[in-house]
Amino acid sequence: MPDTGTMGISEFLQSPEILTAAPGMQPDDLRALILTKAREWFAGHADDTAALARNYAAFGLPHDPAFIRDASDQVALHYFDKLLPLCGTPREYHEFLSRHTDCADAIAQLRECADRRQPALLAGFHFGAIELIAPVLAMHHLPITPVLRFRAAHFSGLAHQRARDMAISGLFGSIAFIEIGKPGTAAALEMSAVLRRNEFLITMIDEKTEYSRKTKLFNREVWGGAGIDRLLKFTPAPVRVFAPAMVRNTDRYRLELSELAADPPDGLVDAAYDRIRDTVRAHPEQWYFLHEEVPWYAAPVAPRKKAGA
Amino acid sequence: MESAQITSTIRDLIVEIGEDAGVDEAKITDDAHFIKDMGLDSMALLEVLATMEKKFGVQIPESEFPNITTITKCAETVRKYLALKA
Repeated sequence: MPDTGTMGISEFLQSPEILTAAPGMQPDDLRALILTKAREWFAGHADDTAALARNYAAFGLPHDPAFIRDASDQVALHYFDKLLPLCGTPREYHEFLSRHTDCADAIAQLRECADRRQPALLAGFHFGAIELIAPVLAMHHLPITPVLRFRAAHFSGLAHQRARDMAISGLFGSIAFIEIGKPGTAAALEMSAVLRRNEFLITMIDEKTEYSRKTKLFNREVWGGAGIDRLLKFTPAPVRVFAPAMVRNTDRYRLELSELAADPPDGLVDAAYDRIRDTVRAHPEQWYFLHEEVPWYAAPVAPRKKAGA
Repeated sequence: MESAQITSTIRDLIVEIGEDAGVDEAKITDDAHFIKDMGLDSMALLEVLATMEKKFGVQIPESEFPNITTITKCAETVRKYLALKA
């Protein structure tokens, strides 16, 4: 087991060595490498395995050793999905996605939005092959902008370059990222601008941000929404909102979209969390978020005043 | 609408948003930068934009978003689009 010091699994599986090796690998080889490395990681980090089991148990979900081994592999496969665009050429990536993804129904729903010039917000969560959603939509030349928080600076540069290469190939539409988590940026304005242009915004909602609010998940109170209700409140366009899930089935992926009632946006976060609950209940092992700290709700000491109150 | 009235309305708006965000009122001046001087975040800027559009009945295009930085610049932007509307 390598000496990983204070490194987390994210940094371990996105190390410069792996990022450098990925472009020369075939997808199956990269998948095997990531799975092997992740199993090494979990074998050497009993605390992480215990945290995963503890988090599943807290939501009343399966948490026996065999299930946790499966869930650990799904955590690894999330990193495989993330690094997959780096493998081979854009054409090879396009061929991989064409062969392995089923997304006709979801594409039809979004194509209808595009044809009617209706903006759409895809409220994603840390589940399944979320990393493949943007490339699959770009493959269908839908006008998408994913909101991302890059934890590995090296990967950020590679991802931007790869997105440019994919667009240049003509096989994918352009992917313009909005990077969050950097001080002094205007991410919310940029996000609203995407919707005002009648395009599609993909953002994660199951993290605790300053604008998250209390919601329920499997009868536990958590912080959620990441401010999408406020984003829509301050965006004049009538936005359609979907909860996307890219479900992984052995070596295939299926994109499922559920439309959520967004007008008024007040109940949107709760509706999105009901969708998360239903999806997780069907495929609990793919809820890879649980290897991280769950944003349990705790009442703020001095609650933030509501705008307009 | 009078030019001074536009600035005053935007100033009141920023004071209200700043109060919600815990900004010291002494830091709110017409040329103070919303992010660098007042510490507002991007969601607050979006609220400024949306509220200005609603209050003044204008639509501010994306190209003007970089100007949502100070009360003075916001007022100039609103005046520009009110004039175009007239």
